[in-house]
Amino acid sequence: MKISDVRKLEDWRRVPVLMAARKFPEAIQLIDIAVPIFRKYMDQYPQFKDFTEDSIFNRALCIHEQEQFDQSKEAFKQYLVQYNRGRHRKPAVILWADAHAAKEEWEDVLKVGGRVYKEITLNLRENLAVYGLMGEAHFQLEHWEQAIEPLYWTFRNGSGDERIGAATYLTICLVRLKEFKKLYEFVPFVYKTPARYDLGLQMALVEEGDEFYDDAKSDKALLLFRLVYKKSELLIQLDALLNDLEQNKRRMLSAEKTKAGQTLASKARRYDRSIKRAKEQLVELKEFEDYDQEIDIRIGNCYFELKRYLEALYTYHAIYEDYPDDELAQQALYSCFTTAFAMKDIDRALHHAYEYVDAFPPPKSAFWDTITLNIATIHVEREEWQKAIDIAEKAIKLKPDHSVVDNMIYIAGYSHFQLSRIIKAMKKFEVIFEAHPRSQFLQPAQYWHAQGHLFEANYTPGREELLEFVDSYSIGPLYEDAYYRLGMAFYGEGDFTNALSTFQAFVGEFPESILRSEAHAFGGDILASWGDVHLDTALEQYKLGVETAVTMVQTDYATMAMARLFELESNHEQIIELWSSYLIKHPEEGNFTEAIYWIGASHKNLNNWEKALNTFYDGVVKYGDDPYLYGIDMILRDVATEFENLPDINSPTFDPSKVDRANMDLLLSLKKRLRDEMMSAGKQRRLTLLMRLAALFYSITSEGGSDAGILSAFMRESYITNAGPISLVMMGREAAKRGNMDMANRIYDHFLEEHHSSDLALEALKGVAEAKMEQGKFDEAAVYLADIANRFATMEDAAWANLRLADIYTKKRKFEAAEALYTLVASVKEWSGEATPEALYGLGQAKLAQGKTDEATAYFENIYILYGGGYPAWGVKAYIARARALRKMGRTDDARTILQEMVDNETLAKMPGAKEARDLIAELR
Amino acid sequence: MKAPASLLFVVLFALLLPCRVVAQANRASLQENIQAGKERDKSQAVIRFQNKGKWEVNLVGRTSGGTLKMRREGQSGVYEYPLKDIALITFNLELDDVELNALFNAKKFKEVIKAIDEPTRDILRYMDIPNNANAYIMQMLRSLFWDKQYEEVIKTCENIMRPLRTVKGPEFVEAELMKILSLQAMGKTDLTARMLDKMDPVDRKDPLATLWFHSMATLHLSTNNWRQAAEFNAQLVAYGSKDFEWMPAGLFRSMEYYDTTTNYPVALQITEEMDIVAQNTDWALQAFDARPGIESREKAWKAKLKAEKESAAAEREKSPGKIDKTPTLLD
Repeated sequence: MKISDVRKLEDWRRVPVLMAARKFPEAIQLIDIAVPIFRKYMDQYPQFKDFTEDSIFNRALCIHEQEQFDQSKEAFKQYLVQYNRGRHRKPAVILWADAHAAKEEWEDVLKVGGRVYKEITLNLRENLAVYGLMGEAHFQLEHWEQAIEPLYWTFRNGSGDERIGAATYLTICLVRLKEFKKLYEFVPFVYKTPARYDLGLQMALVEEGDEFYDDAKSDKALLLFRLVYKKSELLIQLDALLNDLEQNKRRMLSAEKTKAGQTLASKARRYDRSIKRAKEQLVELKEFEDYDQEIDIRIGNCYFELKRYLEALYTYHAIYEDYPDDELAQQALYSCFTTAFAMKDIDRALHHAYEYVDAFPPPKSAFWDTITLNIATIHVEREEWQKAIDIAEKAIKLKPDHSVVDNMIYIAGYSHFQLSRIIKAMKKFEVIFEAHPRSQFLQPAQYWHAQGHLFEANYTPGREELLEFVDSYSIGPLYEDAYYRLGMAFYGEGDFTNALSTFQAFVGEFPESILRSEAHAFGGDILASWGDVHLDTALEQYKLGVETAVTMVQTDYATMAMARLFELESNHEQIIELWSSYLIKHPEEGNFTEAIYWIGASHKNLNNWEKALNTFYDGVVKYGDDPYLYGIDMILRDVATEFENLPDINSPTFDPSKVDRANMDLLLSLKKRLRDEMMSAGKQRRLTLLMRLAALFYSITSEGGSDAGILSAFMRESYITNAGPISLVMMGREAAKRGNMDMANRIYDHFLEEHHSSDLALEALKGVAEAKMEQGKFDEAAVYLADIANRFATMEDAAWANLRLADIYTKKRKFEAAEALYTLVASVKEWSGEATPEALYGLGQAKLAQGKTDEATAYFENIYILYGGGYPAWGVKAYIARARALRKMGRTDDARTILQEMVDNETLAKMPGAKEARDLIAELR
Repeated sequence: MKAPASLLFVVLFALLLPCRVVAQANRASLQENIQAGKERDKSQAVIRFQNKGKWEVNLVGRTSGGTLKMRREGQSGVYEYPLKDIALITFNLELDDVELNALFNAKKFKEVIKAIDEPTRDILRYMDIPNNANAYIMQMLRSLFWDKQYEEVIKTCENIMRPLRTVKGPEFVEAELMKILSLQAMGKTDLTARMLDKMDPVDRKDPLATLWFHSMATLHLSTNNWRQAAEFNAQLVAYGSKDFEWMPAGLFRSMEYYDTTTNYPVALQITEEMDIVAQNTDWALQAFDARPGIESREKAWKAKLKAEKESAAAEREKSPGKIDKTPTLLD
């Protein structure tokens, strides 16, 4: 060998050092010099063959390390062509594949990798490199199925990032293949590593999830959507992932720098590809529109579709909470409402609906019309009328062009109607007539408008509108109802003939109507009012009313009417039979305790006291503990009257011949039994019964007695709800007597709230009105007084209420209203009696208050002339009032004369006011 | 054994460190230095100070005055530094996250406990200082729980919570919740009710929310308040779907709720879901066992509904006039 060649080869020995120092061009230079020399002397020096092979491999490696992959591919290929079974065959093949991978020539990676598997046996580390590359190649080529095996192998045998990388790709493959079970085998692992933020994985989840979602496969879509990370989080995490990868790569290079030439470059390259991928993903992600809320909405929708409403609700609500200003926040909150509605949790639905109304008022509101309509409808269904009105009015006020404005107006009108604000309701319906004549709510609005007339006792316009309605619409439930109401309108007008014929026609046309019973009952009422000749026909109608009744109210009305007819005829046996058969059919429903009362009272009228009192006693003991069974109060009231009328046997005026001793004993025995029952009710904590019986004995004993003491013990807020009507009335009176008007008010309020249909409601109304007046709350008292005057118009109590109302008006100097009411009371025939002089006296006082003294004296004069005899107390008051008025006018003599006239009257002179008259006479002298 | 560091040495050394904390370093007692010398063969951790300074140290202990005692690698003197000056302690733990997670996912809890317990045993008392070991300790705690070593969980939680009491960071809350869950598992309902009552609700975005939802649901279930428990389970499922540790419990209990409320198809759908997402968990196995029962209840329920429907139809046939046709708003 030439000396010059030997020198050149000495330089060649520096190749490994240069490579380790990553001085690859210099290394190649030395290799290129050395290889021809090796070849030249190969025959002489057999080891030069190996040196040549090493050098050719190292040259390829140096090219590869310089990332000249096109050249390195060729170089490794050349090496392998020359050294088919060469010593560097394995790394050469791996790096050849790696060069293709670096150029993203994935098909070639697979070709090379496949060749390795056919021909070469690799150790674990080498296998990881090749198999990892093949897995990646399949993945990049979207050979999802083929990618799984190499990736799974890499995942199982690799370590660190290698493993995480494989798991990421593998997860994506499984998502793409929709292999849910296998996917969820990996997900818990992947989701504990930064790989979960891989955008490729996230996009795969979204895309595949969308596919299922669009196919309405909510269960599958849910499995994928739930794994998606939000964009905001991904941006942060991808950035962190990028940093991690760069850091890990540096760490790997520094840790493995001594192993250069084998798999280091390939590993680093893989890092580079991951880094490149992460960078690209970051750019791509930044360009994406926000999808976070959209995904969450879809997740919520999936839960909703699967009827997993609670999960849906929480998902939707979180969107609203997290992105309140986002477009989808409205949809999310609206979905909360619909979900709660689907759950039949109406309170919750309303809560979310109002949340929406508060959060998204018009004009930014997308669901305003629907949600407000729904809220109003729910309130109507729940009979929350004021709330329905409030939302309907708010909905229209904030959005005058509400798409269902007619519906909202109708709801407001209907709700006003239910609150007995008839005029307001009618005005709303009139808006529909005028502004929405083509509305589908026109017909019901017309119907309710006509009804409004009836409620306002304007029967003629009501009848006219109903006639028009019946002529205009000949089908539908409203037609049937309007037909029936037409009969009522005639009835109200006093046109009983037309009313009866309308009810009869109604029954003929609508034999299946649920109102048929009421039509019969009305017919019965009309016939009964026509006198004795028609009573049998009336009875027939009531019987039909009972037979066709579909509600207890109808049964009760017709039965009660029959009972009253029998009572008119003093036919007590029939009453007993009637109510007994009622009790057989309705042993514990409807007016069954009233039935017991009627039966007992009828036995009493038949002088069968034992049966009567036993019936009463049994009824009281059995049902007395339920405050809502009002027949018990009727029994106790009846019994109280009997007890009050019991003669005092110890009295010197007691005349045994004037009493029925047997009946008296029975009554005394009942009294004792009821007293015992009161004691045992106390022990058994049957509070309602105890309080009822205490009220009974309180009402028949003098003040301060032991029974009053028992009732007093219950004069506490906590007992109010236990008390039945009779106890409440007594408690109210007692509270008022003690001057505890707040307590009295609370008692009466509870009564009217809970027991307004009790016969004793009038007592309560009077009680509360008195309590309010006592407290000077005249406006509040006026409401109750007006209620009494309207509800009990034919009773004397209405006169009392009107008088008190008129007194209030006088106090408030509303003389016109006051005088109208006094005049009304004085003119109504049914109220004639003490109310008349009282009304005249009120008129006089009103005139006095206005300074019209002369007119006042005329009223006072009328009183003592016309009513002084019948009502001496009013006579005295009138004399004195007139005398004072005359004195005011300067007519002292006239005043003294009329007072003298009064004290000369024997009856009047004994009245309590007579002393005042005498004093006044003395004064006038 | 080297002589304890002289005062001069400490001062000189302090000059080398570009931070004010060095000035606060105190010379430790002779005895401590001797003890420290015995332990100095291998550095236990790297401490990064707030001023970016970095020391390889062995931790010797801490004081009630809020300082950390340490011996620097290659030196015998013991130094004390206020906790506020320490940015991070990186303990030299030879633990592989990936491997531990794999073991945990494979439910090899005992192996996880074994791997973490020994190297972290002395670290519990430093958990309030930012460090790299807390995550492992919490993983060990969860492994103890899933391995049903409830008493051990409670003991560990109490050890963890003691130094964390003033900080009350996520580790404290997690330990508190793990303790509650273990007590619940041991049937101590009243005690856990009081503990939960005292706790602030965990925000749903907090990764620990799943634990809180689960413990609240457990509490309500213990008083047969199904409805309230369902509310918490639903939140667990809705907000914790990426928490593969607790989500299965939420799903299982949701399934029970839907089963109880006769929503059988929903309950069955959840069992199918659990077969995928919670595979191999105890919850999934229980759901699988519950499936035949739900199916038979669903069958009986459908039969009942059918019978009721038929009976209602027959009733209508008998008395068609009883249908309430009173006009309502909805007409």
